[in-house]
Amino acid sequence: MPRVIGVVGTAKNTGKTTTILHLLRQGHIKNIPIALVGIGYDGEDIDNVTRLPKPRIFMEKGMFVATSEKCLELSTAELRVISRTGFMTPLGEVVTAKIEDPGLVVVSGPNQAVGLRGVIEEFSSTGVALILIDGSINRIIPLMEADVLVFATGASRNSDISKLTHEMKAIHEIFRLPEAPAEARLMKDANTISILSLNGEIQSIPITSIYDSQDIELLNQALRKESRYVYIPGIVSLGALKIFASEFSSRIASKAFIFPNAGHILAEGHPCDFAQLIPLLESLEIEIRILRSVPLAAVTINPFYARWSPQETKYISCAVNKKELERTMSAILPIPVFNIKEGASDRRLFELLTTSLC
Amino acid sequence: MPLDPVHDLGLRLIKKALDEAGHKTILLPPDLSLDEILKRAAEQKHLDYILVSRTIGYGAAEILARFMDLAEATGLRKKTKIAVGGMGIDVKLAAELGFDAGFPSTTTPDQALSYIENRGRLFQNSRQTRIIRNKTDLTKGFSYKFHQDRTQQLLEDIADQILSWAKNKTSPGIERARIKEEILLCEKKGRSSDSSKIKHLRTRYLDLCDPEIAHSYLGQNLPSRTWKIPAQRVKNFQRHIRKLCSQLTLRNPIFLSQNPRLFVQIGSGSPLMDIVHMKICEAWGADGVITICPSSSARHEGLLNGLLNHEGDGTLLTFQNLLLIKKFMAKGTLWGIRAHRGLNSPEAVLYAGLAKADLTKLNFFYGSLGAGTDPARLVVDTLESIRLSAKFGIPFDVPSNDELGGIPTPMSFAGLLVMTKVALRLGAKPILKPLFCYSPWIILNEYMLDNYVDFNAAKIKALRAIVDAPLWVGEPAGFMTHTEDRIQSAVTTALHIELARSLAVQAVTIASTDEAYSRGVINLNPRLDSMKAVEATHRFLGQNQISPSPKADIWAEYLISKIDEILSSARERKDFIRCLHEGIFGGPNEGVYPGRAGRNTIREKA
Repeated sequence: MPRVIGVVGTAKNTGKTTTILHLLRQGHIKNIPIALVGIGYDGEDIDNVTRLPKPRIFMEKGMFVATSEKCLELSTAELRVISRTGFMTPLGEVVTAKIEDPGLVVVSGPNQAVGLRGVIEEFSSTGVALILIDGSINRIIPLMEADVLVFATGASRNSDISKLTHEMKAIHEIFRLPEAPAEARLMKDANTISILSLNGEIQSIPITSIYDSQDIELLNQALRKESRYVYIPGIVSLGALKIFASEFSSRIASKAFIFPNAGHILAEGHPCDFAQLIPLLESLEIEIRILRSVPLAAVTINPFYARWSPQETKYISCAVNKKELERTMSAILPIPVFNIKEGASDRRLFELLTTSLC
Repeated sequence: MPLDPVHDLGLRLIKKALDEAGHKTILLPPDLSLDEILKRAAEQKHLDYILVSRTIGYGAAEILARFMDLAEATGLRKKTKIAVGGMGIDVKLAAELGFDAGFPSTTTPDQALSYIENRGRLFQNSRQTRIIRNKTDLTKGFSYKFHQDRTQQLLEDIADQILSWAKNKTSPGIERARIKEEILLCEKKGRSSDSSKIKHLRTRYLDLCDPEIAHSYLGQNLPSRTWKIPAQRVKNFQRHIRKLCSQLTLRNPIFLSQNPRLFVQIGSGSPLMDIVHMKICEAWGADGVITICPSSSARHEGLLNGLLNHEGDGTLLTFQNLLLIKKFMAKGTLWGIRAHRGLNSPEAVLYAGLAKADLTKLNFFYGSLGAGTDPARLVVDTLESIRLSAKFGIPFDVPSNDELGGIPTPMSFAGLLVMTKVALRLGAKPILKPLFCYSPWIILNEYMLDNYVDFNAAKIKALRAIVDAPLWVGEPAGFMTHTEDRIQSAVTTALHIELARSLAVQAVTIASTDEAYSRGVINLNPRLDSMKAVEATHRFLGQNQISPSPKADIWAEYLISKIDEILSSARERKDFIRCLHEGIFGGPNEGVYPGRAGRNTIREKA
């Protein structure tokens, strides 16, 4: 099976495409059969929102790509369609294609995990050894199909370096949440919140997520003394988690909340708040676990951000101090930090992603 | 559901359309948190679609993307399709954000309903959007009756003079047109037995051409600033234009196939560029296009051959260029080809007929007074051109020539009427084309001192009082009122168009906002400036009218009386060609001079 690497962004313009291009180049240099899938829309020459220039995606002969049909026409590379996935996007059906003649490619692939799984399976039979998933804006859920992740963050997420780095630290902590024990995996295919008791009994309640006190009440009514694991296939809102931490801790002590993966925690969008709550919950004997751990192997940083200029009535390019950003981020994270633009020929990121699996 | 604190009007309109079609809808209040929305969605047993309304801006993309992530995390996407619409939204952004569909702010409730009822299939081009685009005969329904017997008689007498004088005359231009027609017919038949005939005809054709033109046929150098378009470029272009067309969303014609028909003039020098402009203009609601050829080509005997680019104003009138343009033209687009200026009028009309154009343009006054062609030559050629237009059944417009030179409007209009009468005598269908322009004569006489409405209205009133004929406000509307400021230029164009509509003319022509000032390639953005301005102004006025003041009637009467004087003088002279030389229809006093190209080239027919 090919190794699947996902590049996740914390916002627009954090350097996902630059990271992807770097990995593509490295893969090409090493003659590794490589495929690119994007869950958004990438390869255009100007940003859809800021109208500032964006890096184009150049692909070499022999590479593979999954993209929507309408993007085939927009690409200058000659693409030979290999298969049709049946998965639809606003730009048509997603197809897999091989690059017959090098050129620029516009990538708009499956925008959901189910579609991405299908594409990964398709590529598996083509001899591809490495699949790169290009993230989109700050979306994370589909990228949890990857074997390993890189987070691309930068000043366009927050130009306050301190806040930016603390956020990334919180994200990293969430990715380091332990996996749930084997017995909890019995609930992995559940569509609604399921409770596994010590005696092996599984009961369900008819909701997938916990948003508010009403949902909490529903859960509470189902919980027993012998309930051990609560599997939440959806999300728990930050507000609900705060309520758990403050009001109902006695009811849910010695229970473990299990999420499918770290993405289901991060999708809520408040990593710092969640990261702060987790040790608090742990101290109240409420464990937070995930079913499937996807390692976060590295972070890439982009000092650029777009600032709205009222005088010029357009977005203009600005930047934070890149050395300070790299220094601060490296000091706070136990994983490598890369500024791709500064080390364009640096092989370390590629080697890290293709040899480690944590 | 609106993700915007304020703007949910679009959703209200869509909800109305969906409710009326029998669908069950819930309109959520604006400014709910993402968690609140997801909870409400989860509570629905059956939820096929969520429509999100949001104005895009920096930071909004992250919110929308987060919503899609949460929708997937909570399992909502397993049962529900999610679409987004609003200001700044388009299909590509929707794809970037992970939505199933994206709708721009111009989406109508009908289109949203179509998406829902087509089970999530997007309409993205005219195949799914109902476009009304009907060609029309601009001359239909007009009697061409002259309302005053005196005017009718004056024109009959002048027409008699012209036709009698020209009766047995021919010219190299006429001969070339006849030969070219034979050549093209032989080529169409494609018989190898005709190849020596074609060769012989070509030799005769080239004998009637200027050396520069003839040499190009013989494989020698093309004239300066002219070059062949390589075949591979045309092939690549066809792929490019297909891509372009698939991305364009066709709009209905701005005036919805009612009067006036909206034309754009196109002549970039490259037929490929012209096609791109044409497709954009079609998509933006133009009814027709007019192909403009270089003014210089009117002064050479003979037309070039092949797919050719030209650096300068106008696209070369070669049969191959025209066929290529026609190939990419939408079915309902009206097409006019200019032929009125010089030594190749008959051949130009021949091309227009064989290339299946809908209209052409002829006026021997225009070409001979101020555009450089010898009056006698142009009269002879134009008569043949009129006969050809009648033979092919294509009407022609007669442009007035009072724009750049100092020709007074009455003289110019007298000319229009002479051309009209001559055309009718030869069985053709003329369309009178007065200009809405701030011409030198108008400036000097202060006829448009405080508004552009009254005197332009007077022009239309005067012509209408004289004859029942179609009127077309010609290219471009508002000429000489434009400045280099694109906004000003777009606004003045749009207002002149609305005036023309108020006066119930049959057609109008607009130019791009930089056309008068472009120092190079005509770009698409200025072209769209004019289209958008016309669209927006018409949206504002609808069927309301711009009404001239009583001055318009006074000036109309003045124009009518002056026209009568001019026609009387012309008739009295009893020598139409001398009239042109002596300035009865405009001369040195007005700053125009009879042309010299083609002088002494007329001969009696054998």
